[in-house]
Amino acid sequence: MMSEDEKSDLGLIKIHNNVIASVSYLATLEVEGVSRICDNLRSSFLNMIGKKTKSGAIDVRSEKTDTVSIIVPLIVKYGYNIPEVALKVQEKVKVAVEEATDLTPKEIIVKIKGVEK
Amino acid sequence: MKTALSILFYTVVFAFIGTIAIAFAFHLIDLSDIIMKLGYLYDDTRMRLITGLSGILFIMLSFAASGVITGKIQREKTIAFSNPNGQVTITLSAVEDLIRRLANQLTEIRDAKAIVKATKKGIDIRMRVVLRSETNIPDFTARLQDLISGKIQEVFGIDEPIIVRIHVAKIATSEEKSKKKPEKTSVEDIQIPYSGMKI
Repeated sequence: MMSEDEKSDLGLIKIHNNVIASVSYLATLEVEGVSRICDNLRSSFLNMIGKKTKSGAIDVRSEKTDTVSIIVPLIVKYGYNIPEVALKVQEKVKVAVEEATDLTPKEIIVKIKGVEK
Repeated sequence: MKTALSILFYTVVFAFIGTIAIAFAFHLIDLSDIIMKLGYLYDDTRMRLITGLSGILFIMLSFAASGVITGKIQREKTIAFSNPNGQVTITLSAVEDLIRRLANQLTEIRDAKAIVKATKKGIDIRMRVVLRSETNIPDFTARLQDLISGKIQEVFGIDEPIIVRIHVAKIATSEEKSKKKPEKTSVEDIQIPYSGMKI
């Protein structure tokens, strides 16, 4: 997994993609209407062995031009307007990642995988 | 990339099995040679360990490959729209979830299943429902069609036409309902022997 680099006077600061994924994960859960974030094979396995991840199946792809694309697969609560929830997630994740890492995500792809109560 | 690797994995495995089968059929492999090598694998502790670990690795690889391939198939079944910050995709199973939950809220429906397909004409929904006997079917199905198309347009913000086809598979009687839920005997009705005795 690639990391985001930033130079300071004292040396190089690297932000791992997992950090961006965790920030996005926590920001997404704060949005009203989001039931949960989907898990992938890796996070399910880690959860199974008791090592809980704070990124779920969130995928962060970094590009050479210091930009990142974030893919957020999630389950929406029943009764909420899905385009509104997706838009709120995109805005919330964008702000959270910008505040935490000073990086501006190129795009935030929201994938609605299901509806739950 | 991942999908290509997964397909390559299965291609290599099947090609290997196929080659072995052909070689076996044309007597290209010496049987005694195979038996000798298998015997070595069976008896030697180090080789047994390597074989066992390779087995575990192959099982994990096959699960990962199948996960990638099926994930790719699932990815294709989506409704997508764009926002200023990026794309939003909604899987058709999410639409099916919503319809099922909506249907389960209606007292007239006992059971409902929905299959959603995204076509060029719009969204095609096929529902299979089990209704309760006292339901007026023409009125109720028309109401259900309106309700589903309205709710999907409201929740997903889709402007495309929504076609709802309803198939009433069964009409459940109240007797069936009572069969499925046997009456619970209250605790007070059960007589416990010697319950009033004090020692």
